[in-house]
Amino acid sequence: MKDVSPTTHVFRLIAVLAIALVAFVVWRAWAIPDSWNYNVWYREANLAEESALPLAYGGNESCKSCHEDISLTEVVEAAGGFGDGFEDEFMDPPAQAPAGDAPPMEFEHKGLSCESCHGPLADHADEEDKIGDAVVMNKSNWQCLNCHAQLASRPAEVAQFTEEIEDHRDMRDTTLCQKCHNPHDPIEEMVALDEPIDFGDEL
Amino acid sequence: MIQGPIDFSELKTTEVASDSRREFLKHLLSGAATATVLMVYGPAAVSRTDREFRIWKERSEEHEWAYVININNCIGCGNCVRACKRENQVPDGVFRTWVERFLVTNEGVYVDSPDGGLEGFEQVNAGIREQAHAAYFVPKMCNHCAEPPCVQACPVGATYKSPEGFVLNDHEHCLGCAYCVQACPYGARFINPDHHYSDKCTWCYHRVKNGRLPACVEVCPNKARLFGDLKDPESEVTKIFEEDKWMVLKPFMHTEPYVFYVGLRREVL
Repeated sequence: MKDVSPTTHVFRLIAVLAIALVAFVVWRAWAIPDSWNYNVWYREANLAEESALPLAYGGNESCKSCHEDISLTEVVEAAGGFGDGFEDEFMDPPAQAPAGDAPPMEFEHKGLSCESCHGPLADHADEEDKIGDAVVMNKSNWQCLNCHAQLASRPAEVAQFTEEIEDHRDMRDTTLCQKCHNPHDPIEEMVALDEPIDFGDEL
Repeated sequence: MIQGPIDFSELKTTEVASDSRREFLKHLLSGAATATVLMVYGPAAVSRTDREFRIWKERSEEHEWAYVININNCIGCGNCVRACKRENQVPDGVFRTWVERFLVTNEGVYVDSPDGGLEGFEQVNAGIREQAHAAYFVPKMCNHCAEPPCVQACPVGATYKSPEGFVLNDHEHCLGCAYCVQACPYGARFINPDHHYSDKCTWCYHRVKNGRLPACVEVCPNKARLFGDLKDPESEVTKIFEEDKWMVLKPFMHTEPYVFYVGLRREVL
């Protein structure tokens, strides 16, 4: 039998522990990110990563930045026409009007975000270059009824689709709202029809 | 066994009792006086913006963002839900923000949120509708708490409270263990089915940092959603905050949300 020192096992144990300690220190250095904040316990570099994410929505101001120069009315007329006064009506007030005494209900689609219907800026323009048409993808009545269908839970101040008039109710299912209503100014600016619809005295 | 007569004078009970009673009353009175002073001028009277939080330790000097949801203005159109989906590439079936509909009847509260309100809302059946004595929409999202339970639960420090008040999730560092999903009392977190990390509303950190509003606020047609800086005395949220007519969701959880609701009814709490 080989002569084994009675202390060998102790040295072996120390060697194993030393290797484990070195392995732990190396692993720990690798596992903890460089910009670790030990006080609040997070990776600070993530803040920069998060803020570098691409923006999709630009807000109404971004629409204005291009479409002001070339008269928005012309653009809209070229695309089918929504009539005069569009620019004044829809481009002056920002989407988020500054706080004031005006109640929030006083708007006529000019407070709406263009991108809600026309799609986000990122699908339409890249910097100054147009990459796609800002067309309304879903032109069905769903687009209007999302806000204007009669719902118990909807605030009464919002104009709700009149179901009381039978002809109007039928037309919801048979025709498009924008055949009569200009989506940008649905009450004031009614599209001229070849044959005016007779609602009787009710409307 | 019968012992000799007891010498009561050694006990001096009356003397001790009288001393301790005086001490006791003294303490009682001074304690009551201190408590009264603390209740009036103490931590409870300090405004939220000046308070110290345990988890939100490093706070920005410049900004303190807050979000206001006005229930009275929400029309349930779902524009916010759609904008959030597009802005943040949120996969199908999960939501960073969603809209709930409440119909309160004498027999109970009917709550639904079809696909998070992504496609808007249809009428509920006439039975419920006609019984309802109150009906309203409640947009929901991450409350960006000052004491976020999700941050406390995260075992690796992947979710954290940023100095400006955003509760963010570090996707690179996240393990996807979903402890935070369970910890959140508002159900605002989920595991991203495409990338398998924890995901949630960021108040559009990338937009706010670039001088824009969160996408949901940007598209809201009726100012039901507002976002602003409590350190800016002119901002709308500061005015609503100071008016003090707001409520937060689940106040009893002591999460100190920074999403303030205006017109919130108790059914929602």
